Formats: sequence, structure tokens, C-alpha cells
Amino acid sequence: MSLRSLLWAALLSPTSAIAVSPQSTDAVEIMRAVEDRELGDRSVARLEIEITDKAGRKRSRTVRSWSMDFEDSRKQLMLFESPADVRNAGLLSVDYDDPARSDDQWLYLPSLSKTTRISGADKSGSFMGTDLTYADMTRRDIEDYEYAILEASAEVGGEAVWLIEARPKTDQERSETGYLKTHIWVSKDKLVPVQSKAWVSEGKRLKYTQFKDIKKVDGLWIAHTIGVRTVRNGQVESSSALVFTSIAFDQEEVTADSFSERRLEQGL
Amino acid sequence: MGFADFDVDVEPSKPVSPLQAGGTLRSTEALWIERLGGKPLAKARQSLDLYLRYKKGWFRAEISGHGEFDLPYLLFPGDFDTQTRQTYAWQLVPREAYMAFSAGKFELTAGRQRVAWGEGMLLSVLDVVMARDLREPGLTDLKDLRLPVTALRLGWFPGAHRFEAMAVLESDWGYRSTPQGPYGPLDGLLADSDPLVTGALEGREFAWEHEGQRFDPVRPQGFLRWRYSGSGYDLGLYAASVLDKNGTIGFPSLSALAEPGPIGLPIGHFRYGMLGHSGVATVGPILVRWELGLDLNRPISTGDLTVLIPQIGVGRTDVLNGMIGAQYGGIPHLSVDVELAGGWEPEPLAEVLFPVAPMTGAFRLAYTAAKERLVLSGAGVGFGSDLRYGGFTRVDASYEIADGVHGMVGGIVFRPGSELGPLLGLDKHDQVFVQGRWDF
Repeated sequence: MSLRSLLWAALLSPTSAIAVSPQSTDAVEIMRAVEDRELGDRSVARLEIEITDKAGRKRSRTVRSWSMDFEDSRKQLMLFESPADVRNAGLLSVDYDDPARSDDQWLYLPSLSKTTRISGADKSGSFMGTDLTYADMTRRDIEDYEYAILEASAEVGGEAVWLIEARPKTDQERSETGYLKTHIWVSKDKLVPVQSKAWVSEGKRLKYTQFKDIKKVDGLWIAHTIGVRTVRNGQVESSSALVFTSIAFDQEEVTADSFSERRLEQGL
Repeated sequence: MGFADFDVDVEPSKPVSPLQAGGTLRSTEALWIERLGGKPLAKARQSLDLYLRYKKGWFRAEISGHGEFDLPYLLFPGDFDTQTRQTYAWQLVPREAYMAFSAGKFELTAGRQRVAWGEGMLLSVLDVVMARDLREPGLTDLKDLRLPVTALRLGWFPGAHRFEAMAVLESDWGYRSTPQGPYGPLDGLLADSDPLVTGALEGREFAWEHEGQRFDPVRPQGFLRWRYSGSGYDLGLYAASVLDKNGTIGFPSLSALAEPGPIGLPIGHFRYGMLGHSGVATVGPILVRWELGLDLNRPISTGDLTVLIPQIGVGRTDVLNGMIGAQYGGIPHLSVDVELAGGWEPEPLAEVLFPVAPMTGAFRLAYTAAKERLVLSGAGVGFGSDLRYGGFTRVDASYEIADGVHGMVGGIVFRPGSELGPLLGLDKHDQVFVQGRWDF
């Protein structure tokens, strides 16, 4: 179970989710309800990121994104606003519904004046220097994990939750995501994750993620703020704060043409 | 620790407006490590790039410029010939200046613009649209490498396809090392010449003389490209009528030899045709890239420089070029690129002056650490199957000090090779360098 799945679920979960009884103790049923739901379509969002290292030094990134559902995939375009050295750089991703198909990704760097296909092989690398990885930004297949209920009645911030453990079934999934296992606290009311703890295979790190400021936008539960903290040997190694300063769905400006090399190269 | 005291507080920034202004300030200093006892300063270049960009609805426009000065050429002008000072001492030049109009699936871009062809990341046999800054082999910043050209470009973008027709109206040959400049070939060329020749040329200055006008309406270059972005693969087809940017060298006129002043070395930029194909495909953790280019009736410098009176001419032949490369991204934080390029002449010319499309290999390793703050890179290029035409290897470490502020240290080692090649004469040119860069 990757954070991306959690991100998708936390950010884009409709209120009319697949019904799961709060008394359910079937971890697979709960996670399927969290994962296999309609995502908000034709979205436009602006994301501000602040990364803090061990010494307390901060870096900022701002990215605008557009996403849309297609017949066999979900496409996303991200254009970077800041910092200035990557302004107007962009990433176009096609995330196929079929888990057997590899995602397509193209990167445009203004300094090269060129769009290049990039390999999505190493998904455990940092996403834009944050504590999130590219795997966190890619939807994972629920069939690739084994789930178990650790606590059927827990509470986080006054909210009733299930605590579920997800373990990748295959070495490939473990290698691609970089996670040995993940604990997920899922809101019984909203059917979205409210926090997670992931065991990172590299360097025996722990990654803590909190989804905050969860509000409805166009009928979808949206976590407007995500905090991620990487801990190693009991010390906070780095942390990232991701804040959606705007997010909207069913936007007319989002069309199939929004997800092309041409649009990627046009920049902001 | 853990979930405790998990405050998330981000100060919202102002969204980018339709009118963007920005730039880059850079300072690069380099030392010749084999000349520490003499004048070791290879470079102290300060540069500023500024741009203004506007985008709203169907209209885009950009204007940008570049200014630089390099202290060794300003502080020690007596050490350099006239053309070298003109090429390296300072520049104030326009870069992009274009307007783009979109209408449905069509887009027209008019003005000075950058367009890159092909799939090669390190080597390309198809990237013939733009001139390049080749003053310092292996040391040019990527941002500066491709120089915009004045062109009209019409694009049609149906679905995953991309069709483009482009007329380039500017004959820009870019920048190259001057004959007697720090990276120039003349010393190497004359090393094997007859002593009578070298004696006669003692103390004379040489300068490249490009034939033709920069803006010549009767010599446009035409380019056609189709590109398809598929699931797991991209394909491209190319056709061009292009003027040879590298050029063919000519023999200076007898009057130029007899008269005082710089001796002009003519460089002809003749037209040839090109057909090409490119592709890239994902195979597991490997990205395979390839290019094929058929240069039709390509001009080639021919002759012999080792005789008393060098015989130099221009021959023409077809050349089939190819590039195959792979990028491996299966190791966390590490990216490995390897590319191999070479050419084949169905009817080889006799006595070519320089190797025609020699086997060339290139690699690049990039390791990122500290959440992408630190990037360690190593790269190298070798010309000739046994490096007979030389090669260079470069390593550098770049660190993001703050948002948009980077520092870099590195070094480069040149090996000129045993035969006449692109790195001719670079036998005491190894350098270490530092760079500070601020993007704003």
C-alpha cells in the first residue's frame, strides 16, 4: 500500500462511497472501498510544498496540476511554478487502470527545450525533493497487498477509525514502492485515511503521514493539508508539508488536449 | 516524533501571473590544472539571463536576452588574438523573441525560438535545427547549449500525434572555439605541418570566415517532423533541407596570406538533405532510445594538411547515421545513461580531412541525495572506437543551497587522441571549476 493510494483516497474520495459498515472487520473490503471509488474528474489544483531538513532549513515548491479520467487511464499534467530554476518545467503522466501496464511519463525541461519520456522504474525516489516518493504519486493495485485489521475501533483526533496493516505481496511491489509495510488509519465516517505510518526499506526509516483539514469540495472529501515526516533512528530526518491552496473539479478548461506534449511545453 | 506535534504551516505564495519575468545570474570560475605555474585562470565568467514571458488564452510571447563577460580575456587581452577576444571576452545577445498563436489543434510560432529534435540525451544525429555554443567542449551549461533561431513553425496536434513544419530564416552557425583560442585546433593542425609552413605563419592571426549572410531570404532551411506518443513508446519521423552548421573548411586566399592582418579561414555552409527516424521505448526498468539519420549529399571537408601546400576541398557523399542508447533507472537515486553513435558511408570519400561520423560513445551517471538537494554527476564522451579521436570525462557535484540558489564544483579531463579529431590540441586543458547560480 503506497502513500499515493492514500493520497488519492484522502484527496479525492466522494462522500457517496461504497458502503462499508463501521462495524466491518474485513480489511480488504474496507481498503477496496477506500481505493476503488470514483475519483474527482477534470480537476485543477495548486499545491504548495515546504520541505524542512534535519537542520531546520526550508525549501519551497509550488506546482499546478490538472487531471482527467480517460477510458483506460487517468492523466495528470503538473507544471512547476517555483523555485525559479524549474519554473515552467512539467511532468505529464498517464496512469493506466490496468496494473499490468507501466505508467507513461514525459518530462519537459525549458533548459533543454525538449520533451523526453522518462522511466518510471525507480518509483522510490523523492518526489520534488519532498518526503513523498513517485510511488506515492502512483495508484497501486489493491490486489498487490495483503491487508489485516489491527484495531477495529480506534480513534484519531476524535474521529472513529480502523487501523489496517498493508503488506506488499511481491518483492517487485516492495522494491518499486520502497515500503515494507504500512499502517493506515481509515476514517469510518469519511472512508478516507487520516494518517499512516510506513516502514521504508532503505535505511530503516519510518514515514509518518497525516491528512488534515479534510473538507468537502464538490461533494468530495478533500484533505487540503498533508504532513509527512521521515524518522530515522529516533530522529526526524526531514519533513514535508503539502497544502492545496486551491482545488476544483469538473473544470471546463480541462479537456483531452490538456494532456499533450504541446500543453506540457506551453508552460504556465 | 511520530505523529506528535505535527504542525503544518505553509505561507501561501502568490500565483504566477500571465506575465512572468525572471532570470539567472551565474558566476563560473575555472583553473587550468596543468598550468598552475603560469596563468592558471581558465575562466571567470559572469553571466546574466533575463526573460519576459506572457501567456493568456491562445496567445504566448517571450523575449529574453543573455549578457556575459569573462575576466581572463578582459584582464589579459594581449594573450589572445582578435577573434578569440571577440568570441570569449563578452557578449550581449538576444535569445528568444517569439509570439505563438493557438487555434484549436494548430499553433503558429513566429520569431527566435528553440526547437530540439531527436531522442538522444547525450548524442544525437537528428538534432540539426539549432546552432550551438561549442566554444568550450563539455563545459557549456545546458541552458546555453542550444541557440534560438529565427523561424516560422506551424504545428498540428491531433491526439497523440504531432506534425510540425518549420522554416528557419536565420543562418546562425553558433559559437565555436576560435582557431587560436584556448580550445582552438590550429596549434594541433600545424603540429604535423611542414616547418616551412609553420615558419611562414609565425605571428600571424587566424579567424574563421563564415560564408553567406546571417539573414539570407534565398537560403531558408526547411524542417518537417512527425512524432507519436504511444503507450510505452514514442516514434518520430523527420525530413530536412538544412545548411551544414559545422561547415567545411576552405584554404585561405593567397592575398590573405600575403597581406598583413588576420588570415581568414573560410568555412562553407552548404545545403544537404536529411531523413530521419527516432524512437524510445520502455523495457522494464530500461528506457531504450534510438535514432537513424540519412544525410543526403552531405558536404565533407577533404584534403591533406601535412603537405607543403595543403590541398583542401569539399566532397559530397551520403552518410547513414545511427544512435542507440539506454537509460537505466532501476537503482534508487541513480540514473545511468549510455549512448553510442556512428555513421556509415555507402561510398566513402578519399582523403577526408576530419573523420566522418566516427563511432562515438557517451555516458552519464547522476546520483541524487539529500532529497534531491545534492546531485553527483559523471559524464564522458569518447570519439573513435579506440578513442583515437580523443575524449573527455567530467565530474561535478551540485548542491541546492536555497530555493533557486545552487553551488557546483567539478572537473574535466581532456584526451585529444592520436588522430585529427574534434578535441585536437586539447592536451593541457584539464580544469577544475566552481559555479554559483541564482535563478530568480
